[in-house]
Amino acid sequence: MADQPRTIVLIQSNPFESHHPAEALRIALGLVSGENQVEVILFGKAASVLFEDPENFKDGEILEKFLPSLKDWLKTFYVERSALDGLQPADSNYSITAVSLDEVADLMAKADRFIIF
Amino acid sequence: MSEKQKLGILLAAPATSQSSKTALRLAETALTKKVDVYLYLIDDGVYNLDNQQLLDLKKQGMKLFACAYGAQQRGIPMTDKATFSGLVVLSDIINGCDRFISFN
Repeated sequence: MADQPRTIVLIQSNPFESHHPAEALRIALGLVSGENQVEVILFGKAASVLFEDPENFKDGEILEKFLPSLKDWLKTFYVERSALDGLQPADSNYSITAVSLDEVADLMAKADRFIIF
Repeated sequence: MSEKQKLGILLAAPATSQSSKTALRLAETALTKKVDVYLYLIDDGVYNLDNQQLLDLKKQGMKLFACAYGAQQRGIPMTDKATFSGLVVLSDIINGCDRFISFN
């Protein structure tokens, strides 16, 4: 697995308006369960998927189905710090690492593949 | 003789989008330069299966895959226009290509 490319799935779409975050997380699960090295970084409103009832989102049933499984595969979900906007990582059911833009840049510099939704 | 370069492309946008046009132009240019091109259509990208330009690129040697789940969700018939598959194939493309780029 160490030889596999590191893939970043960066999600910036608004899950209240777009099905893209759900699709991106479905892809992330498909990749990580295939033993790829995957990191998920959430920007803006996309961070809401880690805090709110999936029913509130486009394709919420996809999120409800795949997000808990993804939680088992990933060490953490990276969330760009300003996207938390007062939300506390401890209030989520998921492991969240708040990162600055500089830290996002560091993560991306270490990655080989990028999927952006 | 060196092995041919492999380019993987993930396309999640419909044929009407600028992303689709850019992805297909990139694929066309890569094929011209004798690069092996693997295109995976996902999400709204599966609507490109009616795009004649894409089908022409397949005739020129581009390997064309489409997400079976995405096609099913959108009522797109699974014909021999592409190889319909799950995300395992996308994973293989990501791992097996020298370069990989995604468009949405």
